[in-house]
Amino acid sequence: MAKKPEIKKQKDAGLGLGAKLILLIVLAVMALFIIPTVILLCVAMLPTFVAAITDRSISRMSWLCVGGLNFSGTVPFIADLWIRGGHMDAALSLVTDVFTIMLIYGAAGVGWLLYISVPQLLGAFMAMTATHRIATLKAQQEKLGDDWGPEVREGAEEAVAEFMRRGRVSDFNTPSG
Amino acid sequence: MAQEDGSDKGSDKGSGSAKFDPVILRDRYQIDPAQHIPDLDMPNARAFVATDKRNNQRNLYALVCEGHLPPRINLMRKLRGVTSPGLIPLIEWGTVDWPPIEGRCVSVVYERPMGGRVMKSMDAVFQPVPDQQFIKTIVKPLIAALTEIQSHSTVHRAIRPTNLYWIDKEQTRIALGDCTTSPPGYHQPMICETVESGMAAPEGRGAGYYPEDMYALGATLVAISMGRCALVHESDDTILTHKINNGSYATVVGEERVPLGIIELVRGMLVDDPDQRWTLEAIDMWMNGRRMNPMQTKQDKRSQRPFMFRNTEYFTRRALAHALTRDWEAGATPLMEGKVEIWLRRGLELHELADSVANVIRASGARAKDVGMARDMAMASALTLMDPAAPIRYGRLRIHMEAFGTALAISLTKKQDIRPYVDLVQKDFSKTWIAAQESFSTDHGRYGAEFREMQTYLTQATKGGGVERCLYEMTEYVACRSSLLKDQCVLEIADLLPALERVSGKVDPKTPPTDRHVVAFIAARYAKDTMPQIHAMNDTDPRKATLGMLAVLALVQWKMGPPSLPGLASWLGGLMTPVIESYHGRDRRRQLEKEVPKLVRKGNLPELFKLLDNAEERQADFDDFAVARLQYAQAAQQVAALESGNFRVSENSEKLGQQVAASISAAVSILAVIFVLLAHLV
Repeated sequence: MAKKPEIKKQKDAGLGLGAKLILLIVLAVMALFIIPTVILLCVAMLPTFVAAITDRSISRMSWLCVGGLNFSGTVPFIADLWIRGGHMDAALSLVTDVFTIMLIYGAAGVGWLLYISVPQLLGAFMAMTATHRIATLKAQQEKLGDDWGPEVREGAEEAVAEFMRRGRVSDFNTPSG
Repeated sequence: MAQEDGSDKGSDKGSGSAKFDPVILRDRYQIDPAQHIPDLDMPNARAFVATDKRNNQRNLYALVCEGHLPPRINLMRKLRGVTSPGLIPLIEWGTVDWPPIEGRCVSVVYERPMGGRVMKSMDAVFQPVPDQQFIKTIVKPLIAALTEIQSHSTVHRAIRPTNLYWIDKEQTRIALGDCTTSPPGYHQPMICETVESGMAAPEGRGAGYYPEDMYALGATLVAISMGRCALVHESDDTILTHKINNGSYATVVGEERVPLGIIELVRGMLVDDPDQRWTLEAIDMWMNGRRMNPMQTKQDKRSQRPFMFRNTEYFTRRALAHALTRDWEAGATPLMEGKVEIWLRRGLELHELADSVANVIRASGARAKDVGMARDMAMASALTLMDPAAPIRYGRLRIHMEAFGTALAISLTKKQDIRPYVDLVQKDFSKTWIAAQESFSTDHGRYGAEFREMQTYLTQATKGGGVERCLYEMTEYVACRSSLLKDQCVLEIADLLPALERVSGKVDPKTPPTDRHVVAFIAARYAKDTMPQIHAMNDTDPRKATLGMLAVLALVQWKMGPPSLPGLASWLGGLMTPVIESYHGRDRRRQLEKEVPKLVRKGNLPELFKLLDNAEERQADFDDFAVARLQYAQAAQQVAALESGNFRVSENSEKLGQQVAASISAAVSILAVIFVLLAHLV
């Protein structure tokens, strides 16, 4: 059992100098070819990087939401860069074009709006049905009271107090067993 | 003096003239409550005509224990079927439904002595048996009876002139009467009791050993030989004091003329020292012609100078101890102030005893005027040291160690103060008593162990402990003293549930059937299997307590039967509200309320228990209730949120919304890539 890691180490160490050299050359060629694209992407996807760093939301998925639309806005310009030969000049002209940047960042902004507004839309939907919902919930409480007696109310006051403190309703886990 | 007039019997509502149907004992012996035989009554039992259904030619009578004193059940077991020339045969015994008291009683069936009682009362006078026939007619049958009784390792302890019968109409065959219907020695006249036993209260005399029977027979023979009892008009105290001062033989015989042929026998049987008292072997040798040396009664050491107490002089420690006991409060002064110690040291020159008495008094820290347990306990210890063979004397208590349980039972029955018993147990008086004894007996270790066990029970204030538990642990055959089971004569655990069934219709249904006595009785008679349930019964939670009560009784029914107890089940069913209400679900409660009456009708307590304490149902109820509470709390939050206009969704919902938004965004980006690719390729 103790010999296996040693064998693996020997294999890692056995990657030859030639192979490393070939890998380096390939990467260098690719870098020469894609550097304009990378520059374009780096500038265009800045809102996504910002979203990823500053995200404090519950699901921590703002980078994906912002990034998706940010990339949607960037894709046509990447295609344009590649059609124009992928040269550095083309890339620089794109990143310095205000219209291009506004379009790309605008798409990212739409992503932000989407990320913020969908949960709010749910709340808004609830608000639209509030009166009916309150009646339903009270009826449900009355039924629970009939089925289980007044002792079923134990804990309700604390739950309301919790809502008042946190400003949002709790997610109750069903007891196991 | 005890008379055979039924003085200790219960109410007199069962008079012979009342019309009651005969009752049957063990499917064979018919006892007729309407045919009372007053001449054969015993102090704690009344006599009725009995008939053997298989042989109605037999002359039988039954003694029905209507009195409140505990009968000697173990002796009934031993003497059943025993036949001896000088013993009225005990044919059968058992408990019967007894209409006169509307309850149950222990009854004992005997062969009926056709010649009646030899002495109807202690002051009766009759024609004595001629001297020349005395040995053959009186002594031999009675010695044969005692031999038979001793062969069963037991003692009679009811040998007295009024408990002798002529078996035949011609009055030629004498026999000893019943000894089972009262506690041992309880109704013995002072003349028939040894000094040690006579010093005890009737309930505290105890069974004693064979010498007690020999003594009683000796005193009885004296009365029978004279045709009367000489000291009948003297008080018990006078007789006892006379015995202490002058010896038993001199007291019992006095100036009377005893047939010459039995003087030696009677002298041997009335020796005060139990070790020197004649045994059956000695009597047998005497009857075979061997003449014994006159007994020299070992005298207690006499003091050179008397001890003056209440204008009377006392020369022996027993006499002084007895006098101090008789007047407890006055006796405290010389004892606690050390005067007795000085007299023991200087008068009797018993320095070791004097030291011991001084030590116990000093250790108590009490003074003569300090009325209370410390002083009384010190006095009891000092008196025990002075006269170790005497009964324990503590306040008004006068009991021999072996009679502790019986005396406690009788005191409880008579509703007397039982605090002295508790004091003795709590202070473990057995240690003092055992240390004071001059000779070792194997019983001493048993007494010590019993006292320690009783101490444990006394510390348990809950049901199943306390003085009630002590009572049932110390007395094997005392009936359950529960007020619910009055007159039900529950002697064994198997009798308990049928008795509760009988009384179920008569008691307040809100009263639980398990009072302190019932639980202590179960704990003592059936401890191994019922203690967990009894612990549950003592729980402060009413649900657990009620279930514990049902569990105990269900267990007893399961193990002992009977299979159906509808009355008791109905009684218990009415008390199950806390259990039913312990279920949260109203539907479950309604379901149980519907099911309980069905099982009540069946009278099956184990099934009732199973229904009410179904573990799966209880868990399901618990889980469902927990869910319901959460649902209610969640609904309350949502209502509060909606009413306050704060429509923020929950964390989960917000998370879900954000995930949806991210998914939409990702999908749009993929569509954008596809669209661009298509636009440039096509």
